[in-house]
Amino acid sequence: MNKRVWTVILLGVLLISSVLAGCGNNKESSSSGSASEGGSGEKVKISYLDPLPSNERTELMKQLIQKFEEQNQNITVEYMSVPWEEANKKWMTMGAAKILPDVISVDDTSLAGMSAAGYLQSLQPYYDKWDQVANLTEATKQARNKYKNEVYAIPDAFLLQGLFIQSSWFKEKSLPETIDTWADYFSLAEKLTDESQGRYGISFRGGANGIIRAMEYVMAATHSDSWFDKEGKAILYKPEAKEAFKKFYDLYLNGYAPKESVNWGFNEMVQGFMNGQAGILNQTPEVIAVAEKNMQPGSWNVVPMPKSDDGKRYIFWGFTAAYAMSSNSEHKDEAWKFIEFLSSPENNLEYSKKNSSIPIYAENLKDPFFSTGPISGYAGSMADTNIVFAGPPSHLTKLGEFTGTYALEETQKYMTGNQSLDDTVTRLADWLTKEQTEYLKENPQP
Amino acid sequence: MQLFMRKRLPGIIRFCVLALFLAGTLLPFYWMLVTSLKTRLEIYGKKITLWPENLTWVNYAETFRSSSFPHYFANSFVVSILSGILVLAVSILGGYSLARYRFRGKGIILLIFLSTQMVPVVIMLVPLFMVFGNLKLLDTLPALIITYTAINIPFCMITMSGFFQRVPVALEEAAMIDGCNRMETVVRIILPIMLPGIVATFVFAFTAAWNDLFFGIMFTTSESVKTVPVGLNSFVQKFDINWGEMSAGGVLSLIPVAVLFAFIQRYIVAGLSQGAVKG
Amino acid sequence: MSSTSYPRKLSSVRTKRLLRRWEPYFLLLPALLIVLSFFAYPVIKAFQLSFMHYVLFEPSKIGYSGFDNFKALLMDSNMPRILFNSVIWVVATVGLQFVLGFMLALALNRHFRGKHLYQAIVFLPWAVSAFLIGMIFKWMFNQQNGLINHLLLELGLIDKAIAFLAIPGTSIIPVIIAMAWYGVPFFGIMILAALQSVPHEIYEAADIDGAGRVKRLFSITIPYIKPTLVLTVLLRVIWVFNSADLIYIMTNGGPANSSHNLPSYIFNKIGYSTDFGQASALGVLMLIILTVYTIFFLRVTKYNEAGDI
Repeated sequence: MNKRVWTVILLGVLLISSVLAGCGNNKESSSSGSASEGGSGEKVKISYLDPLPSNERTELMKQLIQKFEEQNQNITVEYMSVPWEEANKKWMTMGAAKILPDVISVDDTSLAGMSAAGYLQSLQPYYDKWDQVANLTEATKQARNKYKNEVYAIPDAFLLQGLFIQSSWFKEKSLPETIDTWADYFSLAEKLTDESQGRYGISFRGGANGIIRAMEYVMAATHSDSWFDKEGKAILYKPEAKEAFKKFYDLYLNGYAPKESVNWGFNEMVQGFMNGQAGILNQTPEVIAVAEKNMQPGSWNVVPMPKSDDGKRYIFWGFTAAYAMSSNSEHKDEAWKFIEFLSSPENNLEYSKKNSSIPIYAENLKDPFFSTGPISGYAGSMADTNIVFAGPPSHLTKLGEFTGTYALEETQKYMTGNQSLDDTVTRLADWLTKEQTEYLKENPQP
Repeated sequence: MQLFMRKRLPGIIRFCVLALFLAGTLLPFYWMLVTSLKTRLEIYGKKITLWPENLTWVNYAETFRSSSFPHYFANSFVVSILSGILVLAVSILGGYSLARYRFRGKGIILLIFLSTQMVPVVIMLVPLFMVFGNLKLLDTLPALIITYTAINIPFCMITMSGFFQRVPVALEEAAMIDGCNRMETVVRIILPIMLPGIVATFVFAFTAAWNDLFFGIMFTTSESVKTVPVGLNSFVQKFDINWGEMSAGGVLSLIPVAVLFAFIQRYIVAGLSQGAVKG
Repeated sequence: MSSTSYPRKLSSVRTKRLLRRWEPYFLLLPALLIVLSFFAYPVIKAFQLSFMHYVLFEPSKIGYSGFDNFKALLMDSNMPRILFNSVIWVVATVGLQFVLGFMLALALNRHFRGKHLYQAIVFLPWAVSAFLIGMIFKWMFNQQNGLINHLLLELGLIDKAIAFLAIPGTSIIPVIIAMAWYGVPFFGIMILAALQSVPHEIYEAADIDGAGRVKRLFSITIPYIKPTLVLTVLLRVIWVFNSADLIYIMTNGGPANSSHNLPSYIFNKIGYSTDFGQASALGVLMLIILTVYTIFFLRVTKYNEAGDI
């Protein structure tokens, strides 16, 4: 009897210890985020989290890290990655648990929120002392990498919108392969659509962040350089803005875009273009590399964004994912060293070329790479004086919630016929105005 | 005619059912295999081909070359097998207790176990991050082993108690009269009879760990500790879903599990021929 | 009952009795220790957060807020739709999995040539990660390059490709199909394992009585394996109710929230708003719904009596 009980207890102990043993056996791979125990001052270990892993990019980043480690014998950098779709959730969770890696690449929709939450370290002190500031392009200096007027991240490289076109379709219909004005854009959407062949004019973005594309047109149509007027009221309240909003979503409602595109995000749009469903795709230069891999050479091309009727181009541009430092980093100087290294003119040039994006240094833009091929259009518009920045109000901490959920629901309700135009536009405008008012209250503009 | 109805018809129905199940099961696998053998141009091409026009192995080569797939495999195996064994051991003990004893608080304990399965994992994330962070276990395999073990115990244990309940008590009593103590009875008589159930429970725990993506993504960041689903997820990039390589990775990830299933399903059949109460 | 079955052989020394009384707890201890040490803190934390304003973006505003989160949930105009979807999702998915799994188990409960190979294949979906399943089915249901549209077009059943995943109200159906495909083997294995434990003697007795197949199924087999059926359904309902990944991958709740269930709605919401307070409130709500369901289910099915042999 006693024996039996003891056997049971013993078995229990055995089990629990095997749990612990299981933990012990795998220690070799343990390397927890930012917690490096290099207190001796000799070897410092920092970590870098990449939200855009792909075969090519990961290889490039690892090469850069290797170069950095060779130059800085006392610092080792651990490369970590998280898929883009999950990146925001992971940043926020890691931030809340205070275990963010020392250096992170962050996109502009998350930057304000993460700074507000206190997860990011202000880079202003480092930025002030940085010897490269004078060489940056104007776009870099104006970039939305600030929170409460302090720099929180150094842009990696810039992207701006352009139009990818199926040039073969244009040839078939003997249309000129340009899209000069927004009026052309809308008429081409109709001309290229041929439902019997499963062809549609536009690779429409009805999914997350689709509102940013719509607002780009609304801004162009109303000649506005912001989503708000001076008093902080959303431009969507204006009748002409509502008209523009309607015109843009009519592309979908009139059947110039695939029915499925009501749900499309980034990569579905790109696919919808590459698989020959849609004739025009509004996307950034990163997609050049993807299109080169997936499409017949010569069957596609890139043209600049159309002009508005005032002759200006209202274009969204921004950095891909800027380098930021976590506030919980225990090796801030080393982390800055790494950011400075990645942002050096030489490395930035290599990075920009491999990612087909626009470098942060004026000098780098002169590289012949940027004046040839599909990217030249982009680099050209960046230098154009007739360009108006038409990006979202990334100073709002809840911008991500708006573009990712609220506006998504409202516009999808409109696109599926479950909500009227007036209601949709008003609800969007109300939400934006409320947030902007709150922001202005806390940050009075001079 | 009546004879036909009685003798033949059930066989025909059975055959049709089996054939339909086979077709339904294979269709997605088939499509994954075909996709993995196509070139990128064909995958995105206008024409849908049921078999690759230009059969290529490039996706497989690329999957091996560019990502650490063998490494992911090793990690997934370590994590799934260890947590599977732990879950099984704990579930046998607890399941036996739930099935064979009457004691105070049984209902509450059952409800506690079940309630752990009712909380959406996403809200537990931040607290878990803090706990694992304090234990310095984040970004390690043990974090995943502990997580999968804890998460799968409730289901597996309750399932196990169901298996115990189906073994007649008389069988146990007979063995005890023969002079075995309870421990011996369970190990020598009951567990062998329950082999199908044990195998099923292990497979459940194993596949649950093998297939998890959420905790894998959240708890691991370093290449060296990523599991297979996390590796597969990285084929979905910001602008590009690499269908070819993802399918290739998917096919590869299925091979070891398919082998495991081929091996293990025999035990479920073995239970059949033994018969439950012959012992 | 069972505890009184043994003592014949055992002496009635009091200490032994005491130890015996603790035996079931000892046996459960490892499981309880692991599960509680893992879940206790996060679950208590979730309860606490559900009564707090806890938005990560607003660290200065974090504090207790009473029932505000719950009120906000009740006011959420999406809620009725989401709750409705959750019910459809569970009923349709578990229903399909159960019926198909039962059929599969019955078909497999007899020897035939090639059975080993057959079993290995049809149980395989169980071993595929939800991520992969989501992606494959999303790819198959694709409007342009999808296999399903292609087959339907070839067979002449439709004359234009359908955007299955973009139709408001029904975009959840492909997800349910994918989920059923995933879960049938689980039911199949559980029921098959149960069927195989049915003693042959019972059937032999029934054969002498001349009971028909169908009658035999309903009057002998099903009652005999009822505990397994009850348990499997109970566990699956909870599991499916709490499962969000296929929805997240295939439709991400779209279009216009028409295919979200409760957990995928939370998952999506928390990602953008970082409102852990409201998400926790929703989690607490789910916990309550499922606990009520579980107690109700166990009562109605008289599981405890069935289980006590």
